[in-house]
Amino acid sequence: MAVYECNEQQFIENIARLLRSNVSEKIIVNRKVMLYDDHRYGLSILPEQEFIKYSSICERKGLKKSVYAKVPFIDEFHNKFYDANEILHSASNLSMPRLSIPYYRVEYSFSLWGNSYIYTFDVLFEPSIRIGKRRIPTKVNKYRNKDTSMLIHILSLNQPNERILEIKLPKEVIVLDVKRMLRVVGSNDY
Amino acid sequence: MYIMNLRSKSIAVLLPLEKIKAQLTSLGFILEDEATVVSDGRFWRRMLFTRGYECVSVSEEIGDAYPKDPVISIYATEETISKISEVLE
Repeated sequence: MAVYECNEQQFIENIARLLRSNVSEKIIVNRKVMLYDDHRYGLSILPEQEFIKYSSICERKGLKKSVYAKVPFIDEFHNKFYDANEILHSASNLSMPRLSIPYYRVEYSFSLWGNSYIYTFDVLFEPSIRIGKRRIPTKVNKYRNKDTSMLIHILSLNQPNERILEIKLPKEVIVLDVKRMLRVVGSNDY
Repeated sequence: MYIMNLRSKSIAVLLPLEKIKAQLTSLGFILEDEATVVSDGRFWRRMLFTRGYECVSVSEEIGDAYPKDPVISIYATEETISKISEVLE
């Protein structure tokens, strides 16, 4: 039994071919959607086109270079305060960004004659930055007296629309939502 | 109730994104949503266009990738697929 990884085009076209070949009238496709915030994606590894969305609060010299906060800001998703010049993603530790971008991992799969065909993709949360009044932690509040609110940049990480997580498949395909996929590698594993 | 016969098709084409978007807009598709997607270790901008029950997702790689070959996944009637394909040929 093998597990074959496909890209989007291959996955959709494989299903279309199966339907055309009349191997079966219906095909069952499993879909797993999981929310992750495991520091897999950080600001340093983002392409410029994506990084620019964060550019009002942080800066870097280029791709895979260290990222620093330009201004103090609050990461609303993680409820965390970052001071100006604080490092957000170090070039020497790319695998462990301090500011982690959450994402949905979407996995579509179907099985045919014991083999599994999988297409996986991650959908990043979308940033939005605004200025709002917030009370910042006393121990890092060097700007004002304690217990006062101040205007500060606020980073929100918004979850993507459910429709963007979907792959539209013909009505002959039944999509089942699953929580976990247990992959059976050999018959002894039963 | 009339049920449209919708089918799926996915293609990767070496065409500028603007040309694809223009064709979709001329067919009455509306950009409903977009998101940044990571797949195959690459970053993509995925745009979702809809027209009634029909929908088309267009994913273009972002970053320094060259040449760019957007992946177009269509879920539409045979007629719509043919019309979209006209610009892709």
